[in-house]
Amino acid sequence: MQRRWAPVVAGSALVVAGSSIAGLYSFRGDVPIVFVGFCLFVAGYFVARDGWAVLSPFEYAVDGVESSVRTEHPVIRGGLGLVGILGIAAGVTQFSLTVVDPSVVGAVQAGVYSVGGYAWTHVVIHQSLF
Amino acid sequence: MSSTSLPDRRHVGFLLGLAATSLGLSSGFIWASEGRAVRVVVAASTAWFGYLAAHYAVTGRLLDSESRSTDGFGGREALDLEATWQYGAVVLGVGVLISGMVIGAVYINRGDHALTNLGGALFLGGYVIAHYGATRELL
Repeated sequence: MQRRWAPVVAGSALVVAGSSIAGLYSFRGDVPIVFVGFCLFVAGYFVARDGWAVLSPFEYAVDGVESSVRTEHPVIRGGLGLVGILGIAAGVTQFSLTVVDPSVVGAVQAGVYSVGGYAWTHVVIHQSLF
Repeated sequence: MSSTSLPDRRHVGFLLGLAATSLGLSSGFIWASEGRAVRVVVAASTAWFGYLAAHYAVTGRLLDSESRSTDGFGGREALDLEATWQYGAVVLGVGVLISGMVIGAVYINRGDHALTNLGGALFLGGYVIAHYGATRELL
């Protein structure tokens, strides 16, 4: 399959911007902004992976383009995915706050939130744990 | 010559890519804790492109696309694995990954880039172990 590079570049820019926002604001304890950062990250990942068609999931589904985003319930799937991303955002924010105020319990808690959010999101989107 | 006929080059690419990811992730967290935005962007770029390189080295794909595409929602069957050892690998990998976060948290606080990388390496190593257990692919 021939790869189109423009979506890869644009998606990568979104990934870098999103993860930078998430990293910087996690140390301020700002979960909503960290959540936005991770949403940008995930959007960038899909654009880099599947191209521009990801930006219009309904048409994407109708066209039957091969992708894990393809589904008869894109809104519900997207909503469930956002729950997982929120878990990741909460986990990474907890991690950063634990760095500022060290606590083994806090670090383990951050790991469980992050890993749980990742696993939830991946199972919803890909039907597999990884 | 196909990449599958060059296992050494593949594994070197995999290790170098993940090393870049660990460096970016580890130093990126330290710089984020100091509020140094430009350096964080550089670190995030290093981490992301390192991951893409490592992924390409072992799978021949920049990112997983065709192989993971299915319809419908994930249910309990999404957690079903073929062999018992795979569950053990997933649990072990997640444990190593979380230990990397704990170690990382300690050394990010001290601004120690080298030892934070120990946490980064454990975090990524745990991810690879768990990923291999679940999918039989390294990334």
